[in-house]
Amino acid sequence: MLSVTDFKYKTNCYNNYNAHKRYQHVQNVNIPWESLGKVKIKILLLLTLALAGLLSAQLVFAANLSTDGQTLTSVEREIGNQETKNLDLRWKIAEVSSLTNLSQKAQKLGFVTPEKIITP
Amino acid sequence: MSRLKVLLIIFILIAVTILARLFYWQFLSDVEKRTISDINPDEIPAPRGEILSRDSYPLATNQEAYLIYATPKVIKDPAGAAKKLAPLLIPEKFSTISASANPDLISQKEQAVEAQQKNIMSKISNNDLYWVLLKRKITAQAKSQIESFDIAGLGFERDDKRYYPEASMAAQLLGFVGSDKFGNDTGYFGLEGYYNSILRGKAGHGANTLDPKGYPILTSKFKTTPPQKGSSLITTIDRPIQFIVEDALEKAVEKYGAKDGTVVILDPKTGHVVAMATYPSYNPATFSEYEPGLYKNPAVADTYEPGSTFKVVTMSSALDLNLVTPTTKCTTCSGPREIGGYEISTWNKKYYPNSTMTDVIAHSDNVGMTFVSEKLGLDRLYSAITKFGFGKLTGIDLEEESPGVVRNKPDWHQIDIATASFGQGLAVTPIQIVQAVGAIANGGKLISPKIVSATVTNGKVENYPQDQGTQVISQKAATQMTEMMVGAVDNGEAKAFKPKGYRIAGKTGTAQVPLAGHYDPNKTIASFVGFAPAQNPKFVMLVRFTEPTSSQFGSETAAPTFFTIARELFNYYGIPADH
Repeated sequence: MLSVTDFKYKTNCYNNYNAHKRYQHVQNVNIPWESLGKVKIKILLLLTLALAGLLSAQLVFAANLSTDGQTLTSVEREIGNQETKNLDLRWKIAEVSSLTNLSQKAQKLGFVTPEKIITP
Repeated sequence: MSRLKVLLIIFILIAVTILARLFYWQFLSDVEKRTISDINPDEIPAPRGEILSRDSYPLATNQEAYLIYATPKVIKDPAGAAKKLAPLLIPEKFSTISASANPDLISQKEQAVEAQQKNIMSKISNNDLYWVLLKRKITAQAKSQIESFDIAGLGFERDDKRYYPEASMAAQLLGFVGSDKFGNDTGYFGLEGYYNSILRGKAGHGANTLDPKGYPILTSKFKTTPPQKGSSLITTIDRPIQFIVEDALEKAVEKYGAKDGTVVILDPKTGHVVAMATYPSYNPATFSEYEPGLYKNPAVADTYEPGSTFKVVTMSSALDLNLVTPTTKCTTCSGPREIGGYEISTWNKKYYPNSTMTDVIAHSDNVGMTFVSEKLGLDRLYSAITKFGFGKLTGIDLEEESPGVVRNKPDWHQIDIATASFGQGLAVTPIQIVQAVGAIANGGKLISPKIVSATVTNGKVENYPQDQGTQVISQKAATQMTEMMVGAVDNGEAKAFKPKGYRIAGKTGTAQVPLAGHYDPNKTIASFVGFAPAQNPKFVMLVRFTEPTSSQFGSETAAPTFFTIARELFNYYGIPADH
């Protein structure tokens, strides 16, 4: 029968991994909870790695996002340039095809208004 | 050194780096200069919709332009900058080709440059001002020239302006774009004013979170609303006809020495306004350089006594009610008449006893019209006047329309019934007269005149419904009145000017101008209203001159102009002669 102190030590070993290892070494007893502790460590390690990975990914995305604003601005600037060119061409076409302009050119070229009514 | 201490040092270094960077952005970087360049970085102005003619040619469109501002404390040489900028910031009228050949404008230009230089100098030398506006809506060319000066402390913002390719053509019809009290573009007068709410579009909103270089930060709050371009208007204006009319009107106003002239042409079957012109006119692009009196459209805003052109309204109502026929003889036409203590006489003091109603119209016989008004009586005459749309708005889609003046029925006396029958004692607008005569041309159906036939929003065309009209006189009465008006043209004072072979229905009008309770003997409003071809009218037209000096009569001023324009319209529409 185990003494009271031994029982307390054993109970402590069950709750503390390092103490458990020492207890196992001292007692040379095969404890059934050993494999459970290793799994816990692996889970913790995986979680830590995942967290680190996610943080890194967030950093990468944030860095990319900061340059997307610049890309967006350049695209919008290009759209603006094209719209300005379109507007510019539209009013130039309107200017050269205005009747005021055409009639002046026609007069210079010697065109005259018909004296008689010409109908089909 | 323990590992913990190394870690602590690393953390401290990172923190110091972050603080240093923050200090740089807060105090050392160029953020301040960038921020002032954005007047309202959150708002993206919407392009204004265009106003198109019937053939989709832009009568009003937009042109690239800029606002120029200065940051006085950044400008190192204010005097030099003002000297360079002034010639580029003077009114546009000095920059035209014709201005360079006009000695008056050349001397005015020098004064304008000098004044502008002083103005700029006062603004940019005031270091108490953080930001100062130098000029709005300068052209892209002017901007390029200013940029080539490489003056620090100047900046530009996009500030597009309205462009009217045909310059002053249809100016009173189109209106112009100015600024409201917040500096936003707003339409005034004409179509620009009437349709301002749909032409102006809706401003968009950009990203309000920007990095120090001015690029948007795409955070979860990043949301932009693109501006919605204003809808464009497709009008019923026929551009070549408008051009023909403006050309003929300008020549006629100068030829007859008139104060001003107005021409309105409608399609009587649809009520669509084909052309509407006034001379003198103004350029809507540089409206501020003209007298404000020119802004309103006389075709819808001016009221005048219609004179003899109104006889067709009185006569057609009497025909409709079968009170007279074209062959009814006037039993009171042998001489002047006295009604209510006033003498009624003819315009040329010639009298035609037993003349028919057709003759009364052909001779423009005032005494004959009193015979008709007696047949009608007050109730029926008043009803006819209101049925033809006088005394109320026609519903044309233009600002500043006047309803004219028709006194309330209880205020009418015996003399008023007589004088109203030949167009005195009431005030009408040119568009009301055209609308009324258009009803005669359209088989008795009165149609509200309209200028915009459709709108275009994001490429989608929405047609406006056409007014179905109201039958104000019978088809028979309209046909009889048409024949009487054809007779008036063929046998009237203006028959010599009429194009040969065409049946044109028309009526002259010479109204005296009321002045301080009496009529001015030397001032008249001369007009001619008619339609053609009489049997199947393609157009109804009014020509009106205010105070012509070469002749006071409509038959010698407005009628020849009507026929000159009609001749061009026959060519344009390809309408062959009737015989």
